[in-house]
Amino acid sequence: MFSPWLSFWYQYLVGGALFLIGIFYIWRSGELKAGADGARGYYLILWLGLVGFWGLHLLLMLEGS
Amino acid sequence: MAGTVLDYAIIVVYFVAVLGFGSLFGRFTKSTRDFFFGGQRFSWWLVAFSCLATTVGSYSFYKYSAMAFTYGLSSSMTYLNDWFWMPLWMFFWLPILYYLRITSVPEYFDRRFGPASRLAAVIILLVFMVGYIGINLLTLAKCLNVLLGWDIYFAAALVALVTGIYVMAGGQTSVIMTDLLQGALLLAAGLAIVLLGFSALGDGQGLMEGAAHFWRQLPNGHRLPFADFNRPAEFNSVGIFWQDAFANGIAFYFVNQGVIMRYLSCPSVKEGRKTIIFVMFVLMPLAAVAVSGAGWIGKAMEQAGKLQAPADPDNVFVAVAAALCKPGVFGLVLAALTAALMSTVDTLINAVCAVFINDVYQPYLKKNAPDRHYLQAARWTSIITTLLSLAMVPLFARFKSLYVAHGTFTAAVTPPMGVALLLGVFWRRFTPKAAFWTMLGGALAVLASFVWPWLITPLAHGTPMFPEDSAAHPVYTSYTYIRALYAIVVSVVIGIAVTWFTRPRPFSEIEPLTWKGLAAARRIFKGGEPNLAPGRKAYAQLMVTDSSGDDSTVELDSSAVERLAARSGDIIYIRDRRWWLGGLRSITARLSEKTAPAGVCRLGRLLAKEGYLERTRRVILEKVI
Repeated sequence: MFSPWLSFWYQYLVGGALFLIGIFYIWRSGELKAGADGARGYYLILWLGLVGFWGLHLLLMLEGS
Repeated sequence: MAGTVLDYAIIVVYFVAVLGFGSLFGRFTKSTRDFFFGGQRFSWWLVAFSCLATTVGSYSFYKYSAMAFTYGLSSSMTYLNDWFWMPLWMFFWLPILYYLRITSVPEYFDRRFGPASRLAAVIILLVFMVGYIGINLLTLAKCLNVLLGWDIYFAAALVALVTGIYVMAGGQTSVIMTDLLQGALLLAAGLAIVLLGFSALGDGQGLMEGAAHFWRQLPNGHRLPFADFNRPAEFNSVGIFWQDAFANGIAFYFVNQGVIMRYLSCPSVKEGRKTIIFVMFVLMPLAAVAVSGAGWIGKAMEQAGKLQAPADPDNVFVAVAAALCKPGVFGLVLAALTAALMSTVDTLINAVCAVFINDVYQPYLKKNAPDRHYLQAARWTSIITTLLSLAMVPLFARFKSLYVAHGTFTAAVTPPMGVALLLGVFWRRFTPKAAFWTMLGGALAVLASFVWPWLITPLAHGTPMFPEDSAAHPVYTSYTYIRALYAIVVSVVIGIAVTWFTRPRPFSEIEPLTWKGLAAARRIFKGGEPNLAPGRKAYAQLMVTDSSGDDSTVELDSSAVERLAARSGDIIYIRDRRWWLGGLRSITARLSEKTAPAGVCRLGRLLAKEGYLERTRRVILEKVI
């Protein structure tokens, strides 16, 4: 059971790092401040999506372990 | 195994319906903008379904069902592991493409790095896409051969003919419209198998009890959404993470011409973002269940003694579909398989046309011709592409190594190209020479790793070089998945190293092509200062004028202008109020200084005709920028 948990954390740590790089670029670009093309709403949805996927995977990991 | 007469009839009806449906939209294609980008008018939900249909290939049901049967829920990893690209894709690459009106990746390379990089990108993309169409045709032909006993070449030719005809007739509009039908069909068929499986497992006690029984029957390891970290060689999560989430994620979202064209079919960046969210968070999880479902159900049924599992897991989809589906339903499942293929191939054919016309024909072979000429050339290109891909089917079928060679080639060139693109967008210092050498050096380094696989070992995370029965595997099948990490690392190192010793282009020249230049890109798109004030939708009655001073503008009444928070010169999206048309009847126009009567949207005849808008309809108005 250890190995799939390692897979879970590896994906969310490495993938999460790239996600945060993207978030860093969004902040630096000034897009949120400008608010173009619904930027603030979609920025929020991105975070919700990340939490949603993480929660779904965590739930399945706990249920399946 | 062969279907019944009813199954055959359903397949025939399906082919006729797709052909008719696709060809019907030929009348909505009058320019190259229509042919390649559907006139940039489609609603997010229509584009989203089209993206889904493109993602799910004919092999998906077979491949993922086999994985699902053998490894369980972790077969869904590949559909749910590329969310982390979303910030970079949604907030940067999509707006850059849209606002700078970049029609292809090679065009971006040309503008950011120069003609040498463009040429390299064109060659890579064309070889990759034409070969990929051939492989998809062969895959489906093999499926139909097993399921219906059809000759492989007949099946491939039939599918190619139907697809080629409607792409030629209607271009992107036909592709998107037929993909809606095909995406819905393949989702419905995949999910129907899951529900039928629950029903069979529940022994008549209802779907909920069947679902509970299904979960109880799954072996423990099958319930986990992640595979083991680094073993076996054929299916380990770290390898799949780097191969699928990283390399394929870059290839799919940033480099794939078909996907790029699909998002550019949206009328605005906002609509494109909505599409991405819906695809990523709703359709992809559903697709993961649809393509894997037969395997999960098959495993549970086998555990419950309700299914004799096939010796080869690759056949589990057929076994489960045949066990659960009555005649007629089985025909629908076959149609779904065909839909998965056609919706992938139509996108690729259209994408090849776009690259050929925009990056080869227009700049090098026939400059400054009227748009009608390029549209005609695009139609001919779609036919030639289809025939060329069809000609590759016997080649791929005859030489297994060629089939593998295409996969090897893809693995070698797409990560370096993707890395060059990403560095180009997100690192302004990245130089044209570095881009060229990233692609060339990266590809050579990857090809070297096929000969000397030990090059990858330091990055392999402990994954085995070969599957356990290594004697049966030639050297080029080494490190199937984790090679992607090696390709990315080597390409990034080359890119950084060459940039260090070469001179970058002045930032002022490339600013709109990078992450830092979105405001400049918007100004270029609009031809003036963008209006970012948040507005709301407005509704109006369309009034088409036969004689108008300026036929490129739209006149609105003051309340609509206020509601939209718009000012004269802003770009307004005007679409028929009927949502189910998905934007098929719509147009974008600049807001005029003149004011229309209350509740009226006044538009010139030519503009209304270009947007296929009907004179008496009510329309919805949205400010684009």
